Amino acid sequence: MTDMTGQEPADSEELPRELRRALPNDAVWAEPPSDLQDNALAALRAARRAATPAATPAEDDRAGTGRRAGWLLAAAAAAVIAAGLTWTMAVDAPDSTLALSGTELAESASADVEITEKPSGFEVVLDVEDLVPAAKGTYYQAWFKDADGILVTIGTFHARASGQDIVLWSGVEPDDYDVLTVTLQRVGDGADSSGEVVLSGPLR
Amino acid sequence: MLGATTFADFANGDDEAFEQVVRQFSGVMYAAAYAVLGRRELAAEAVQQAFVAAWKAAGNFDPEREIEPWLCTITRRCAIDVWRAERRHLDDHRGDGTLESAAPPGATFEDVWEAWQVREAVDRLPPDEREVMRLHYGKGFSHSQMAGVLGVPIGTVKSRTSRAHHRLQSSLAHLSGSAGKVRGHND
Repeated sequence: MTDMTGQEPADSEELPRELRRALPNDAVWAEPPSDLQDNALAALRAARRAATPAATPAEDDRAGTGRRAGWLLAAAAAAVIAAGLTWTMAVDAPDSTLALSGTELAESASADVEITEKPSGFEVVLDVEDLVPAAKGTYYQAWFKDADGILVTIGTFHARASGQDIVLWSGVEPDDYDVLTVTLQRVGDGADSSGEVVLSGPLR
Repeated sequence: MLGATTFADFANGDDEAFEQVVRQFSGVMYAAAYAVLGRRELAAEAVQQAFVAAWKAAGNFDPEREIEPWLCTITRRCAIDVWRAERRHLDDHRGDGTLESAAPPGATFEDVWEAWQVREAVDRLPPDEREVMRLHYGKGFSHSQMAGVLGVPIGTVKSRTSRAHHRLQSSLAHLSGSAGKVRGHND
């Protein structure tokens, strides 16, 4: 990086190459709007109010206007709603999320992954971006891989319908593995990984 | 640093915990969203959405895991959602094919995570050192330009720069060689 006078400024050469590359990133220096925190708090409070309408009267009670006769009833109603909310979140929210990046074989590809424990196993949902549909005679296969290189497949897909989430299943505990990978496979080449990784991301 | 108790309170909708989480993470989440979107107003919108998404999913967060990669993943995803919504909006109004040249979210998770970590390390610098880093890397100022702007001798700028570099080098040592860590082959 050079300064406005064309000279190398400020001793950045004393830094490792990775840092010299990473520091001039605009994202690092972008100043957040002054109302960012206020707006984020407002959004959180609005989301909470929308999720738990019964909680609002209790908040208004903070000034100490005394216990109301219907308090127990309201608390019971709130408990029922909270239990329902907890159940809904447990059903809807993933247990973990992660991101996969394209390798040199598919540099523009990426995927967001949600893993949710279900009664029959772990549901692994891939939201894939810019992954070329598998050509005829080929398919994609997803794997969990541990530190020793042990692979467990969690399913296959072809990604020929764009915009659709890909739902895979694992019978093994994701926490026991380090990496989720997706390989390009060829029909007839057997059950082993081809080693042609197109997407990869850390499981933890 | 944010404790597990605070995050549990955050999950339960506690107002004070909301404030702590927002205060601690809004800056780095903004950097992460900006890395994807490159536009201030869209990045701010993504951060708001990310906080709400984090709150909704907080009940299922494993406190034994690190919170920051989890928040970064959520932020990146929300930023991509914001970009998609913006793209649809422009598509509806334009429809002339110019969207091909509109900047897509090209930031991989590694890029976004790197911006997060660097921003966090910069935020931890003492204010005088952070300012010389901002002027240099954010604005492209030289030593002499910084001395003029800050009203201090050039030697002071150099010593602040050197101290800041050493701190950043120490706190971001793990970045060296981390590129490509998640890439590779199964074999």
